[in-house]
Amino acid sequence: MKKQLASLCAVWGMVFFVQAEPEANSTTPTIVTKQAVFLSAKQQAVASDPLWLKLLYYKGDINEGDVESFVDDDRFFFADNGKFDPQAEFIATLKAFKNEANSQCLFPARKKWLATQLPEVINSLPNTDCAEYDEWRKDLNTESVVMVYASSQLNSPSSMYGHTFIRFDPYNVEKHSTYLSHAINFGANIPPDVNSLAYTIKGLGGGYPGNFASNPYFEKIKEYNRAENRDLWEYKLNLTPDEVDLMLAHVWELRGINFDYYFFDENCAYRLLELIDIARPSSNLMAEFPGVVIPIDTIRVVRDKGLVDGEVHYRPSHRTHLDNQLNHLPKANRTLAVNLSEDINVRETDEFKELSIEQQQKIVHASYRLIRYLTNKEERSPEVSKRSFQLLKMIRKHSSILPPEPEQPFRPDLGHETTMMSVQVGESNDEIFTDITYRASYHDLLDNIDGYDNGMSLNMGTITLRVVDDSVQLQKAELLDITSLSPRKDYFAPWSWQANIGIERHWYQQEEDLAVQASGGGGVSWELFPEDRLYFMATGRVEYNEGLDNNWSVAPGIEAGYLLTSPLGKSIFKISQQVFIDGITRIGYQFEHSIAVSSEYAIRIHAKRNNNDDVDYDEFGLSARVYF
Amino acid sequence: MKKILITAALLTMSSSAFAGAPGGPNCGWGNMLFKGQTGTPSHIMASLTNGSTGNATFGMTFGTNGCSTTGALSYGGKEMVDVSMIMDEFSEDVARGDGEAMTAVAVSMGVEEQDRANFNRTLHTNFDRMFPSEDVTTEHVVATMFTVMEEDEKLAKYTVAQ
Repeated sequence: MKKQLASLCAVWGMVFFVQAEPEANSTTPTIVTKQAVFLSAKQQAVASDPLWLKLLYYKGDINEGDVESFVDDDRFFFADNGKFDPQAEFIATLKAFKNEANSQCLFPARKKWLATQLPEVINSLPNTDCAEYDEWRKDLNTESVVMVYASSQLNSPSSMYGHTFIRFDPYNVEKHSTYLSHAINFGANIPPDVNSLAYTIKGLGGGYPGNFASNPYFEKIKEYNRAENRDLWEYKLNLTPDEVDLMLAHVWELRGINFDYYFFDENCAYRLLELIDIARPSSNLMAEFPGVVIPIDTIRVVRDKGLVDGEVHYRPSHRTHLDNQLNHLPKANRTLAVNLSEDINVRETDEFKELSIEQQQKIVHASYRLIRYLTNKEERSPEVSKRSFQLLKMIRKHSSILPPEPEQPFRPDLGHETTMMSVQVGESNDEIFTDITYRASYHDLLDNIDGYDNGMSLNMGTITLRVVDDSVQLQKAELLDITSLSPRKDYFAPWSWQANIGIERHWYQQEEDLAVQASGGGGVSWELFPEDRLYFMATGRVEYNEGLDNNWSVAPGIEAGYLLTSPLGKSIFKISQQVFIDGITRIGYQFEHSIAVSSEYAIRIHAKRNNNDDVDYDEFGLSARVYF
Repeated sequence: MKKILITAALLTMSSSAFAGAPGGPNCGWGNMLFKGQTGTPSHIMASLTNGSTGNATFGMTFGTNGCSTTGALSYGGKEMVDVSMIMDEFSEDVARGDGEAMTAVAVSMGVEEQDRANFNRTLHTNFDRMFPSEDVTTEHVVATMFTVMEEDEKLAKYTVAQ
């Protein structure tokens, strides 16, 4: 039927379309009645209404006729060329709503929008009963919308930028339970056997389709708080009932619909902004993000546009609970907790029994958390099951004694912003230089730690230009720089690692060369004092450098460092050695200290000595950094 | 007796739903309390990458872990949250006598606010009956919860389908 109606007639600047009778009786020829609906030019013009363009995800310049929808799915469009033609899609939608009344149930937001734009047209449409949609709405019973931020997790590169999704809460949810709220997530639809790195690489180029998916919120809690050990931050939005209504109507339209998914820009956070923009067009959040979209930045914009309502709710991960409980125990009791999680008979020892009931219970709680944490990702053995159950029964026995709750840390949206520029002046090898650095994202080991994880560094897109003797040269261009110093504890022994890909300048044999390099390292780190890290890594490096004998070389190496957090700021001291297979040895000593003036500004000093094949050169610098 | 039959029917239903939807651990009524989550690692991998672990065709099956279609099952005709999906949290809440998972179960059964404290207390008091061993099944947990609620004057009404 759609095809029959595909040709439209323009008569005196008006469009009318013809409604075919439903093909109810196949034995009689289809009768085409000319029950025409007229759309004036003015009526057609609503196809360029911003909300219509938003509802269909058009991007580009409509005046130039150069538009395309982000949606990559035929089921989303009625017109054959709907992906590229807002007006054709508008007319085809009207036609479909008229001729196939059920299609109104698939696109309730388009219908709502039409009702505001062309009430006379919408009133002429056939009535239809959208039982499935109504049932869904009734089931959700949504009163408010919450934007949820899943913070990053050390040791997982693809989680480091964080993640956002939306939750729909029913009336009076505080008195009820957010467990039963519905979460809507936009993500790449990836095969289960793809590893995290492969995902990141392929995702950068839009290699996977993305779509919206729904879970009960408790599934998200399990996924983030428990399986991935990421803290959740819940930002309630102050949308009005009408805005919530429109958002839900639109979310319904996105069931199973495929978008292209790009890791950096058209990602989870971006699509959520669109939903909010549709609910409240005046917020115009999308305009804030012409390029890369980092989830936490979207939270900041939503906050700055006055969309956040009241308090932000913090939901610590299981790991946060575990660390907090263990850290609250005196060392001897912590050892008992670890031992008890491995052997239930520890509870029969004098050492345990001599403690007060309260102390015992705190040990039991920590021990239970630990055993759950350690067996979270695997099927539990009968012994573990039994021990867990015995511990749970001990919790039951003295249930009035509760473990300490983690304090809410610094809100991630209040931390420093993710783009950075710095100006540095210094002296290198007896020459004065000025460096200008731009970093697209995100956070390094010395940046202000408030709102970020200590020992985690993730930087992409850093470029440094150096002015020496009135000439400008490329000093460094870094594609990727990741460090993850996850400290080993008496109950948990994670690895620390680093990776770096970029171009950097090296001084060798009295001349400077640009070296293209990729390097990585793996090792261990410890936390000796609060928020410090001592680490050791074995490293490897591949380098292309025309100053080298064969241009290419490979260098195994070692690196050790100490990262300190003090009231005076953050400092790092590190030593590294790289032995190239063609004989050159590089040794580096570096000290760097950063003072955060505010969340927007910081001052840094650094000193380093590089020894390249027994030739030393030194560098000192002082820099001012601004985050924006 | 009737309840057991219904449960058996539900078991069949949920396991067939499971068969059609890979990647859904902790599914159905037969799940053992402390057995843990088989299949979780691949699930974790998907979610580490912000992948869509939920159901994308949420028109038909809104809110699903790839198992029950809405995260809810009916028990003796009574709609309620699929407790097997939050068994770890629920068992801990019952042991403590309070918590979000327990509230979720209460809310999903329609237990009014003024009866929640009583609901919590009743379950907590009967922890040993609901969770007699580490091998307990969800089915036993839920059946016993219904029994102890039926024994309570104020809670009995919530066990009946509205």
